[in-house]
Amino acid sequence: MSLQLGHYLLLSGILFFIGAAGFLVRRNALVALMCIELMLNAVNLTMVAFNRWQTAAPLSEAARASLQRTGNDVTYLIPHHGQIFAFFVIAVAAAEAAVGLAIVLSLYRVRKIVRTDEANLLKDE
Amino acid sequence: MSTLFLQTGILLAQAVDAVNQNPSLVPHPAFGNFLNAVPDQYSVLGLIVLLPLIGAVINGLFGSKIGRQGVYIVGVATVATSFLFSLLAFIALVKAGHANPSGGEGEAAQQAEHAATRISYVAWDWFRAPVGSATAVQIKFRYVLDALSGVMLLVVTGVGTVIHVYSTGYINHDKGFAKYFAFLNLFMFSMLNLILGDSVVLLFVGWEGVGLCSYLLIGFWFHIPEYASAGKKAFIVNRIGDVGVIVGVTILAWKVGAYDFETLRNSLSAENSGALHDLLARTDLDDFIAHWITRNPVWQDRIQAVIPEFSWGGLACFCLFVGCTGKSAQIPLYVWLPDAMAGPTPVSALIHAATMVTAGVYLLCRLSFLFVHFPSVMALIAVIGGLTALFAATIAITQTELKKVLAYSTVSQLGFMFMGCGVGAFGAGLFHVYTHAMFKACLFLGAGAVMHACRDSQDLNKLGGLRKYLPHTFRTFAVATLAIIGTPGLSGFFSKDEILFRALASHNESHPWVGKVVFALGMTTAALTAFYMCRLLFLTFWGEFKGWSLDQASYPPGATIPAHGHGDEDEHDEAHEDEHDDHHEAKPWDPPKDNPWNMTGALYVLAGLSVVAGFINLPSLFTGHHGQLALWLEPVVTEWHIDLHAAHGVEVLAMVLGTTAFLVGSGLAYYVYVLKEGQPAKAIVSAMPGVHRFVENKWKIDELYEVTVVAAVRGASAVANFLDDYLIGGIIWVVTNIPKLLGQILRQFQTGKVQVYGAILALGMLGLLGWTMWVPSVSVSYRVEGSNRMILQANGGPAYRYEWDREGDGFNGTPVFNDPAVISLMCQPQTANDGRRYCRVGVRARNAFGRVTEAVRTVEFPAEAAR
Repeated sequence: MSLQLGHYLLLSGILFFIGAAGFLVRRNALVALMCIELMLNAVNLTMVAFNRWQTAAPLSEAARASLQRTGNDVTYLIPHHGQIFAFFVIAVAAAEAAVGLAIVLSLYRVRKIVRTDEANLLKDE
Repeated sequence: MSTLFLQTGILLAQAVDAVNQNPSLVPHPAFGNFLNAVPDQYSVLGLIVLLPLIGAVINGLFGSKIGRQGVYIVGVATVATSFLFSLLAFIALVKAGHANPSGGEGEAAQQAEHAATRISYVAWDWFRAPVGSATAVQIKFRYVLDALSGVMLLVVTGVGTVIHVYSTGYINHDKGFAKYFAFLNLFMFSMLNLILGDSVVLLFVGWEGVGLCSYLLIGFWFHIPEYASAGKKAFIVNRIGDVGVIVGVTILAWKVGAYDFETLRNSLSAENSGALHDLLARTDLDDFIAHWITRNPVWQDRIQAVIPEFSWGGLACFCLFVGCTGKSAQIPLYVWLPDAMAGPTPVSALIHAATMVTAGVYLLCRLSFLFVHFPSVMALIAVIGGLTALFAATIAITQTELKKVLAYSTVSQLGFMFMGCGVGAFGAGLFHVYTHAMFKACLFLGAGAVMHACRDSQDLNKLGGLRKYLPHTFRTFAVATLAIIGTPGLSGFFSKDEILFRALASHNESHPWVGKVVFALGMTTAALTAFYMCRLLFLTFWGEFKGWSLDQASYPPGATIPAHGHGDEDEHDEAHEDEHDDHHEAKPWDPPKDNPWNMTGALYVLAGLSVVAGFINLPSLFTGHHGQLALWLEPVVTEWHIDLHAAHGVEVLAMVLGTTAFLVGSGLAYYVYVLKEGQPAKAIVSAMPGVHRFVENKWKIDELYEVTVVAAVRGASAVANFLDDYLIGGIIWVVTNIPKLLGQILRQFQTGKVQVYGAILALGMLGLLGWTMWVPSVSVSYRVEGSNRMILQANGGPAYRYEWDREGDGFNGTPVFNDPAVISLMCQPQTANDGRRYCRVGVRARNAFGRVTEAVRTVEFPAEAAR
């Protein structure tokens, strides 16, 4: 039995669940950040998988004609939106991790602790 | 600010240009172009007004940087230059009067000649002000010098300059010198706006400006609560009057359609003037009474008997007069002036005696062309003036503070001026303004000199014998006193006599008795004035100096007397300590000595003017015609005409009676306070302690106002406060508490714990997912193959079961849901009216929870012809 789309989605779902559960359960800010990364990667996996299993789409007549003028006769094109989007997610995730780690560091400086439930300085009460 | 500097630059550039461009002017000794009054271009007027403002700005902003001497130089130089320019402008005015082509000899031609004499300067256009509902007129910053404002200009800048010089000595020990000179210069600026402004609007700007400066200077030593509240009192009382001015001005603008004096005068002076007719017309008072007050005809008649005439013009005059009572301290709004003595004494001399308080008289003279048409208002003015004069004089007799006596004397003399105006002799009123400015300024400055020399002691019971110690002050003070009490030959005699004579000779059309009554009031006041002024003079300068000896009782010889502890106003001038410290320690009861030259010199200047000021308007009895001042003012100031030759008898009578009043009053004072050394006065006081206390407490007018007007206002404010707290506050409480309550509910979800937010997010996602699983939904997509085959796909979701309606005619029977999601179907397309071919199919779907929905799709086939 070869790998099918369903396997990828299953793995992605498991990863996402682990990430979500970890985020909800753990109080360590660093672990929370890692869980977020896990969820983002689950999503990435979904997108890449869908991209891989997508059927080739026929080109529109206008697109085909314009390609013909360059000497290429292309009838079908396999889109890469999913893969490209995964790169975007990775980039954003990296930025988010940087900001998040900075916040965690500042929190540590103020409170000497990185537990998320202690980060309530702005809360009235 | 930048506008200010720009304007200064333009003015100076114009002045320089005037000299440069016309070489013939340079060697000319007569100031060249400055004497040629081009209409609306006479920039000297702008400089006159601007210079004090520049002084105020420099002193106010940079006073601490340029130091004491710098402030003195700037403060005095700007005003003195302004005075020099005023002289120049005045000469130009006279010259312009002579240059006007006269149509012939005789009085009529002279009048025509004078009427045109006016030089002006337009600084800039200010704004357009509405007159009536549809039209508007341009309000300009335009300064006009004519006969009336010329006299006022010389008085204000002249006396102002003298008092500025005096102030350099007086304020020499106070830390607030820069502030003081800034305010004083700002006052000059405002006052010049008031007298030179060509419209009631500009006049009002100055009117408010002087009010502000008065407030600032009364409360100059604001750290003493009584002084600060005296300033507030002056400000608030003046606001009451200002409402009158605004209403009066508005009525005038509405009815006549102009704000500037020239247009107002021209519209009201024209033959058969429509505007005048409007103003004089008895308005629909009857309707008003019947509509709003009472329906009972008997009461209507009674009310109309009390208000015999009611016209818009009369109302405007009345309102303007109310404003004048505020600014010029007449009954019922005089109460602020005596308290205003809290300010520095030169301020009392300049603002509260010589210039600002005469603004009301100036306004009456300026609008005399209007007032003369309303004899009832004139009667009111005259009677109020007479009553104020008498009333204030009675209080002045009992006061024991030097400045308080002078303050009530000022109120009294202002009453004289209003008497003059009220009997139609505006020129006589202005004449008294002019002489009063000289001698009252001199008296106040003399009082200031006494206080300055005696460590701010101004209690008449402690002073005395100062003739020996302060010879210069004594001489000038005595001359000014002789002037104010009407010693024949001095200025006060001429002006007071003129008012009394005109009162007796006047004839008020609607109230003929007014002249006689006012004359009687004035005569009584003249006698009282002579009495209390001589009392002041004798108590201060005659007898033995008691001040230090009173203190010696409490301090053993040789002891150091603290600088504080003398007199009633000793606290305010802390800086005086250093002046007196040296001889305090040596000998506590060292006699007071005269002040430096800048103070004494000012006294001599003013005393000299008090002597000669009257000669510009000698009575017609001596000269056979109107006085010079009266002739000079004639084109500008409208008066009630009297026949001079027929009135000669009356004039002699008035003069004899006036001189008698002077002799009686001063003789009595000499008897009581010099010959008997005050014994009769003490006897009277002890005989009638109640009456004396009542009068000494100013007839308890302040207390009366306290329980009536002030209490009413306080009551109203309490009601308003209550409404504010409970009605407005209640509504606001409800409105603000609704969101607060909602917020309290929503706040429960804002725990501040990121995991809780995550859980809510996850729950929301699950809910959304569950919702899409639970609610069934199906759509049909298709592909057409050939002319009548279609591939159909039902799109439901995971675990959906379908049942197709292949004919498109609806479902019947029990659903079985056994069909595949994708089917291939042949159909016979129907043809619509427009030729399109279509088939209709339906699908029924059941989701995992057994819920059912259905969809119908119309499949369109290519047209037969197209194939």
